[in-house]
Amino acid sequence: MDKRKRDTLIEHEEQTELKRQKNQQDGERGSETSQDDEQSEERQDEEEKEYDDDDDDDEDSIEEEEEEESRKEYQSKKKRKSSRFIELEAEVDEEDDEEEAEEGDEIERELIDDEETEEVEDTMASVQQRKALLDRMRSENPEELRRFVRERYGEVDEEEEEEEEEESQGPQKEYIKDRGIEQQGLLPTVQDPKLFLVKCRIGREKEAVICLLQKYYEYYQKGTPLDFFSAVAPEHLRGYVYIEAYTADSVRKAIDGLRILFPNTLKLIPIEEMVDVLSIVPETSQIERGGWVRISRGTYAGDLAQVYDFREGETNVTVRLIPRLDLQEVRNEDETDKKRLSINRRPPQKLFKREEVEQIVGSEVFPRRDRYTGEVFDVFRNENYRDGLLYKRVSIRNIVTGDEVAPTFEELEMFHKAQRLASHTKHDEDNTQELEDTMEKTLELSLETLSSDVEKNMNFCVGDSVIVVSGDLKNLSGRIEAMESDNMVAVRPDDPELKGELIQFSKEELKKYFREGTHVKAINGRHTGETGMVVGISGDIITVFSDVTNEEVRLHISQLTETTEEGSSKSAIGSFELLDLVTLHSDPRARGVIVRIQRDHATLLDTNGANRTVPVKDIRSKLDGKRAQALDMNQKPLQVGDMVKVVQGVHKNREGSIRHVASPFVFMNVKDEPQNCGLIVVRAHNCQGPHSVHGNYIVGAPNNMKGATLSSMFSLGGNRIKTDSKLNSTVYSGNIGKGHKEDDKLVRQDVLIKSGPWKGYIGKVVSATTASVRVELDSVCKTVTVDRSRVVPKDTAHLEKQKQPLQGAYTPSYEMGSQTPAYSGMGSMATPLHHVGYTPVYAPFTPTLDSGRRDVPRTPIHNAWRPTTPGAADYSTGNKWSDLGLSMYSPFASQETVMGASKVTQTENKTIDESVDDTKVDHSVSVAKAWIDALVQHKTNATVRGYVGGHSPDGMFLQLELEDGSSGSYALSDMQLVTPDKSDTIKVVDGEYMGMKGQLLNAEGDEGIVQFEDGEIKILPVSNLGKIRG
Amino acid sequence: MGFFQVELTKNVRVHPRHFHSKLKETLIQTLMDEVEGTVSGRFGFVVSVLEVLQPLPKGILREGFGFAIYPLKYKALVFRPFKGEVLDAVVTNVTRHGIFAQVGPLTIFVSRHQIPSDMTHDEETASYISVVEKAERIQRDSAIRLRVNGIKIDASSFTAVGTILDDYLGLVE
Repeated sequence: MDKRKRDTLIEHEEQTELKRQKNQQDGERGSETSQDDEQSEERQDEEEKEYDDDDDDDEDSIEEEEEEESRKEYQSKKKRKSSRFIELEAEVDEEDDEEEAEEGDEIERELIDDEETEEVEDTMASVQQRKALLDRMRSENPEELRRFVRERYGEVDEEEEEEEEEESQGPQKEYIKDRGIEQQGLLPTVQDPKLFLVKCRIGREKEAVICLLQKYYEYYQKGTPLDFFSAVAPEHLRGYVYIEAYTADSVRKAIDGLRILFPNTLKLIPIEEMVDVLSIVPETSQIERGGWVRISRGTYAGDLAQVYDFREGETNVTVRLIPRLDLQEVRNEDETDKKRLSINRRPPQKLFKREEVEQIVGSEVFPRRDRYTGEVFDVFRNENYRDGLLYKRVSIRNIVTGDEVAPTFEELEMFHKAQRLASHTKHDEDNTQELEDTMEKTLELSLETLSSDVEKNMNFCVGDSVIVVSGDLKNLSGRIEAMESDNMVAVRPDDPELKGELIQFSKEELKKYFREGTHVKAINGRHTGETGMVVGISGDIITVFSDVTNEEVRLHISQLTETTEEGSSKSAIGSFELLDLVTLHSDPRARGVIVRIQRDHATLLDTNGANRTVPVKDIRSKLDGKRAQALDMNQKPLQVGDMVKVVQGVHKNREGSIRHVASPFVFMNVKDEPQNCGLIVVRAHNCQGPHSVHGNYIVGAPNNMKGATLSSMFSLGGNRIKTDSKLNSTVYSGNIGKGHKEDDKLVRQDVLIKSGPWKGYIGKVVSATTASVRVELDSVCKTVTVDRSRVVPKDTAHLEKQKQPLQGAYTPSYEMGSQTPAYSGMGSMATPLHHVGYTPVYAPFTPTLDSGRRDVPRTPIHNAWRPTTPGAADYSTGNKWSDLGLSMYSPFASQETVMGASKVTQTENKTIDESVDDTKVDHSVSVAKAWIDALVQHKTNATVRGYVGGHSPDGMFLQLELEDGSSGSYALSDMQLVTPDKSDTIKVVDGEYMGMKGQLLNAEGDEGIVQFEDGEIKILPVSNLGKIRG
Repeated sequence: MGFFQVELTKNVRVHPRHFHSKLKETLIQTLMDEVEGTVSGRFGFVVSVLEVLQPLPKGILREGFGFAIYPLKYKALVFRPFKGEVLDAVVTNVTRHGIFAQVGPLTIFVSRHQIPSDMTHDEETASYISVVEKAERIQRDSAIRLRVNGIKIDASSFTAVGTILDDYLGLVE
């Protein structure tokens, strides 16, 4: 601004001031606004508004005076004129806190021109204001004044203007556009008033602003004006009001006492966001009839819906979608009148079938004519259905429109199905035919537009296979070699005759082309990033078998590109990845594994085996299940990575590795599961883990074995000394040599303490290490730590063994340990053989000598290094072990099956150590006792068959009531239990449930399902069951 | 069937406790354990180690660990399916999406789009039944002849899709 302008301005101000003074004097008679060119206005709500036409004119004249101003600038100034009113007004606000929010309507202004009497005071105020301004101008140096003027009439004002809410947006928008870059300089600066955000009662935003207005005016009247400048309640923002002021304190003062505003929610808007607050993006409604939308909340969140009815200006829209009804639940609800149990459960999408609903729920469905449209719907529980679809009115707020909708073919297929349903019913209902037709049309149309839309942005990449769809070279296939220009691509044809020749095509002439088996990747749409193999082609729609989810998805060719990339689907969202085990905010107890990730939703496989789609926001945290354990059917621990087999339940006989453990459930990776990324969820106790599959030997757990080999080395070394001094102490330490899992065997067993201060006590082992065990005593309420060598299993040892024949390489006497010096860890499998072959005397030395002589202990593990020996049961692959192991040790195994009561073993043991006998007898007695009432038969002579009536005191002989009526006495070792058949009455002769009676419901392989007399159902090894009289 | 004999190299890591007269056996056994039954990149499934090339290379001690590494060269029998190959497979699972079949260690998925349209899926028996001849059904453990349509090779796994939609493909009596 040049000096001239400033002078003019000052001159003008002086004039104005004079006029005002005059006006003030004449106040009582009424102001002479018309003469003074001063125009005031007033709103019905007593808001006052001042406008100086004179000012305006003056400024125009100033502009005309400025020759150097180009015409263009002049025009822009012209345009500014329309809004100058506001600009000035706002400035006044700022300076003197005189004015309240403003209404920029000239007509209105004129209309209320005549209301003059009340203006006296205001006029006085204006005069004062002018005076103050003038004073300021005089006092300040020219430089500052210049800046002030520029600020006042220059750029900053424009900015203010932008923040004025009441201003109509249309012209302003245009204005912003026109000014373009200039506008950039007008952004709010730190010197400008700040914008504060205050929470407000929802729905009363406008009321709040008007209250503020009133309050401002009141205070102003009282002479203690509030120092804020404006208050804004944008239409699109619910529950908030913006207030413009210099300090937060001013705002607090302003809203103090207003109950609909909450002072403690005051928030300063950062300066860079100020513009965004009030700039309004033109929003064109994307809702149109027949268009596709997505529901954003409620049961149908994320579901595709089609707009059925929508009228401009309405806030609700009628959509139709695939219902998610859980009829079973509905029925239960009806019957029991209970509160809904789980709101979170989301029933699967299914078309509504009237007959089905009526059948399940009872006749609750009745046709009704819609009051407004006159259409007939099936009404069920206050919801409208027709042709399988749900017609629902939803708020516009709750639907997503635009690009994000991206309907998939699967979803559309459901609608197609509904459409087909509609065309069926059409025949019976002639009166609705017309409606059906229109409906069909809209649906059809939208499908077409969908595909044509996609086709338009067919995005080719270098390397894509294409086929020519028009022109001379139609049906020529080739590969894109280069992108020439916007619309041209160079294609190298596949045909060898045309080899080496690049041919140019325009994109319209080409279409992507995929062969079956091609590995492809989705590049847009909901499945973006997913890869898979083409399994089916029908027209432009390709069926892809996804690598990650193991599911089929149907995609349009334009959504696909060939890829060599392996695997990855959209595998992460936020901090969560595919196949993570997570919990939810809404349901903290639920656990699930992410099996699919969409834009902002994740699909979980929960512990019920159901899929649940949740918003990502709802996912609370990732669970690290690496350490988690669950117990399988044999109470053996299951860990992540274990290979397990499901033995009961819906997933019976499936095998896989554990992916996650969420006790009592495990998530398993199963090779042939087509859904949920190949995951299934099962209860842990329905599984058989690696630790119980083959005795105590480990299947596919090489890691454990590695640990075991090391520990066995050390433990053996340590034990050697002990063995020297006390041979019989090797019993359990020896076991360690065979692997870690032996430890587990001792845990939870009843043991007898043989020596030391707790000698004679019986208790349960709670934990075991290589050197010691912790025993919870039965008789004293105490848990003690005892040297490992000082405990022997009570009598469950041999029972345990019977369940697991392989492990039964020990005879009962071995279990008693103390009596068999020969028994040592490393030789555990082999020693018995040795005893048979060699003199018993030799035996005790073998193991210790062996390990003592060499650096490498000659444990069974050692054998693993020698593939040639049959006994080289490979520890890392359990299967081999079981095969080889069985054949190798079969002599012993067979003995075991008769409870180790074989006379051969007995005598052998006797030769080794006489003390075996007692235990042996005890054992026989307990077996014989258990067998009472059970049906047995002679091992070699099947005709000798009868029920056990009693036994000799030492348990060696059984008294049988033979089936032919006679009775006799037979050696226990010669007899075996008759395997019970399905539905036989049985008695458990071994294991945890020994002595219980029940019925065998079913038998499969080695396992039998038993229902005890008390109704409890258990799965037990058939070998533990004896048939009794029914 | 795509069985091949290939020469491969594998670095075998040996614990110092095996440094004794039986080291050679240990090496070979470790190699077998580590390699057999795995997928070796583009070579396919290693079915078995046929021969370890002699003389065995010298091991390199890893400083700070004591482990020795032996770069063993060996001949292996590998199973490598190719696209377009016709294989006989055993059905392991039947779903409405299609059939999963196995050829040794390889699982092949035959999509329902790749099953003749005259075969329909029967949910109850989990099988695909020919409309023309009811007796002709593909179910678990059936033998089928299929053509490999596509193969995806990962570093440690193979997956394949196949088709029975052609002459002489399908159920094998």
